[in-house]
Amino acid sequence: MVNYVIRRLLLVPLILFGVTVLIFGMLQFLTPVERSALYVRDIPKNERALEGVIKQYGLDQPIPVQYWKWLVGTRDPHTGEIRGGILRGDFGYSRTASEPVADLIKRRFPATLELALWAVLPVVSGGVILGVIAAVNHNKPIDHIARIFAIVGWSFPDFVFGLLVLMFFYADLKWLPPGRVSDWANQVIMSPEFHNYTKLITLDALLNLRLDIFWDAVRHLILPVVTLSYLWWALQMRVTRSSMLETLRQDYITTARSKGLAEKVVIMRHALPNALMPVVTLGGSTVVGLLGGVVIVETVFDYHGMGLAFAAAAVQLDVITVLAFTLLNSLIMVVAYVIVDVLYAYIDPRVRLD
Amino acid sequence: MLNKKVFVLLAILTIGSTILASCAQPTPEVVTVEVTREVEVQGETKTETVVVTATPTPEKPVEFKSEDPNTLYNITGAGDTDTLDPAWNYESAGDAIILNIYDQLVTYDGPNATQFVPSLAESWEISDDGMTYTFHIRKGVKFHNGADLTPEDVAYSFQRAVLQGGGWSPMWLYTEALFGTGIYDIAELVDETGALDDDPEGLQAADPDKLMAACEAVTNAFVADEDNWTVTMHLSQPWGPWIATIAQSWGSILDKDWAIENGTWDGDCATWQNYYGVTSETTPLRDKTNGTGPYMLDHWTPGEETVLVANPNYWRVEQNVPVFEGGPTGPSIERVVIKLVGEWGTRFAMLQAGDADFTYVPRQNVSQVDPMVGELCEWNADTNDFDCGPTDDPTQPLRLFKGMPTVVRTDAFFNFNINVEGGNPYVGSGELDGNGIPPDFFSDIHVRRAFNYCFDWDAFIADALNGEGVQNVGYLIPGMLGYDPSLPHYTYDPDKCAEEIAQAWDGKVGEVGFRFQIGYNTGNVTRQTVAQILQANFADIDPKYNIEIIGLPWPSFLAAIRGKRLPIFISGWMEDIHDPHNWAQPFLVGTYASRQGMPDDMHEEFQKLVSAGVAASDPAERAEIYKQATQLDYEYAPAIRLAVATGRHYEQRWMHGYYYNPIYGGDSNYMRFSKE
Repeated sequence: MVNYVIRRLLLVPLILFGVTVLIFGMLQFLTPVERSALYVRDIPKNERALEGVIKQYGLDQPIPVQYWKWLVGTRDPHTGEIRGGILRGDFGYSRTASEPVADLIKRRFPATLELALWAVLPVVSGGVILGVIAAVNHNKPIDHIARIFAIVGWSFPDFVFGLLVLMFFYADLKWLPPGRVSDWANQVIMSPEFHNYTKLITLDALLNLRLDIFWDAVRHLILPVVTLSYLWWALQMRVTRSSMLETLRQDYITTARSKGLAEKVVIMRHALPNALMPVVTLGGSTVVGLLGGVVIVETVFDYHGMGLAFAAAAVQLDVITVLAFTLLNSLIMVVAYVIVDVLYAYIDPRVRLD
Repeated sequence: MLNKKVFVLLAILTIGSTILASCAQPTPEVVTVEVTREVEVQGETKTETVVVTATPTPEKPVEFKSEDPNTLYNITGAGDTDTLDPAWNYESAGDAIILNIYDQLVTYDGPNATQFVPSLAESWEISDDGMTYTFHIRKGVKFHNGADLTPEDVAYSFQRAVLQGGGWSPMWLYTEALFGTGIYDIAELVDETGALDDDPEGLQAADPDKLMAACEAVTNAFVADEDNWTVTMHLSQPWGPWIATIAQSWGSILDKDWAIENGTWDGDCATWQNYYGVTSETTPLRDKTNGTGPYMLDHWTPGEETVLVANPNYWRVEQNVPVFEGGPTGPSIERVVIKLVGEWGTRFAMLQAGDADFTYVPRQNVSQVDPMVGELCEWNADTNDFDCGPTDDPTQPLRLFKGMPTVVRTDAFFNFNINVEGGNPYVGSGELDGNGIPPDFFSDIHVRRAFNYCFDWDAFIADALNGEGVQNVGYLIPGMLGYDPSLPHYTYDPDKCAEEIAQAWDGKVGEVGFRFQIGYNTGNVTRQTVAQILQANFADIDPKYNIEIIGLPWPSFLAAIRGKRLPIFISGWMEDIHDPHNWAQPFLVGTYASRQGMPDDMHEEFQKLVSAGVAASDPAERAEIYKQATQLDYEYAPAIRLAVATGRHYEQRWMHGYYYNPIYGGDSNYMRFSKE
């Protein structure tokens, strides 16, 4: 298994290289003036300004040269210092976010991670529970209701659902506000007395023994988590239900029942573990999806995570930011699927990774 | 048991969803009663019964009090600050921050965008020839870091700004006045062709003598006199809008020592080229501030929020100098939180919850917010102020200011010489054969007039501006010096349009028709609407007048405009300073005229008037010159001058102090506000 993990991780640089070459290669289709549009927000007031952008960012240079500079950076003719260069850990400057990409990621990724950590359990477990209940009660009213409930969630536009719950629980009741924390809590978090150990506010609040901050952060997380859960349960439920139904038809389940085992034991100990294989795969995709950022939910709830920043960069064709986010997402995806493969081997003894 | 619990849970959630979906705004109670009254009909008095409806007045006055009166929450829409370097920033979101942190030598006289009052300059004199300005610098002013303001700080701020250069910076507004019209960047003093603009490496390799001469031209233009505590500015020609130019955010005064410590130009003419050509991200002052203004930067989290805190040592408070007569001397709100929330639904919820003191309301969403308005203030053009009064439901929590003219306009510009090199899909066949247009199609005055007569301003204002706009007479905006609504202008007239287009190109257009494309950047509804109006109105006259509309991705649109390939390009302008020169220059001789490929003779005629207008010092004389330019603009019809929108500002009724000065972007200038 160790060899397998090492082999997969060794593929990471190759994958990242391929992704970045692909994106830079696509830039070949744009002229320097079109590429300069990626750096500007509006038609320039000064007629010569676009030429300036082309010169300053070297947009008229051949793509391999631009790629090389992006990799290793450029030397400042005045100070002699090397600026940029992803191999030096400098992802460049995000025009859409108005800050270095590294700073953007450092701030946004913990926000996304926190939302993902809070959401992943309800999303996956809720879907699994619904799927098991539906399968065990196959074709009974509870099965139909669970399926209708899940399908309604799946077909409900997340934008509309999010706004509805926001209007009700925030605008009307004033219980659950948007954003990541309230302004008063933000002042505390930014003060020198508060230690940001992990940048995960709920965790840091507990470590700082600030339950008021913890509760404030949780209040802000409830609506995004509920929205994500309701909308994603359908997929988890359908996969779990199908898998459970198939497992429940197996001979060994019949054998277990005929031996007089309690139905709960049959389901929980014999059927469920074997039905979980596809669920684990889906769970891996869910985690990758959550860590990549959930654009609509972040937009509606003003939750400044990776999704919002990535969407803004993509819409405005901010290539530098898109490249950095793509690299990060690729890395997350590779690592997540390695973990999924390892979990496979753990759940199903027949699977051997070597 | 488990099944039952789950069933109950599902039922609750489903019912809850239904209830949520049916949530709606409560409507005010309406009471209907029957009353009798006596009326006189043809000399006889009769009694009749009529049904009247009345909305009951509230039993007791409604009070509007904020839960957090010491913090102002401005929830903005799209558009974050690009940079906090005052010499580089050239967009309204950054202005709104910088103008609160930094002071300038002069400032606006409250709501009046064309009258100026002293700020860091206690007074100033202008020489008889209009080319030398002497500013007497105020004493006892401290920067946020505690350093004292000196004349050297003032001179350095201007010198460093100009020497830093930047095609995307506002420095061209200075260089034209300092070194002559048409000079857009300091690098053009080293190489007049503009080849070194935004080219730091090229500039560093330039002739050292020329570099030194360019720097000395700048240091000689801004001279500090520590003995007399003055700063003198020398212009290359009289420049009417100079005071207006330095009153803006790029006229902000820095602490010289602090700026140098943070990596800006060291003040030595031998090194300035090493600091030239920074970008918004590489300027050392991108995220650092140290002004003398009423607010200090607490933090700027790009894309999320900017927080300002009141300056406890603000010089206006200490010296008791109100910003204008009757205006505030200092900030009354301790903390300002400017949050960037892109989604309208979320901003609306924040407004409803009372967590937004004011917010940006897109034009298409005003009908959602209007029922929440309890007090309406309408712009009165005669008094240049608002007339306020309660709405039908005075219990509602918002106050709406509306009807004030804004300072942004979109126009449709004709391309006199369309670039067809290498083929151009926007001009069809490229010939006047009914299936295209020739590159110089718009060089015929009849074509340009026809396009003006075929434009329906009412439709544009209704569709693109939600019915809230004013057609412009000429290139200036209403209310500006030299703007005269009685001057001739085009109005929608299909008959005249048909008549003019039939005469175009010696009648050939009328015979064969035309076909070309109008491009707009996808998502820009205003530009799309302009194109649709022209398309529909020409098609109504004759189907052989064929305009196609094409939505282009932003890079393609920009490249097409830059390459002068679009037959008509639709573009917007937001003024930098509230002065007619800031419209005359780009529209008649500068940016737009250049992109249009305006013929030399036409350009020369406009240039004479624009140069005379900017050089004149007497307002009446200036107004007359700009009127002449408006007349000429009508005769030549180089573009379709569209309409400015009238603005809206919604705020919670616990807010006080709002006044309208068109030059303040968004809802900035926070010192004017107080909160209950």
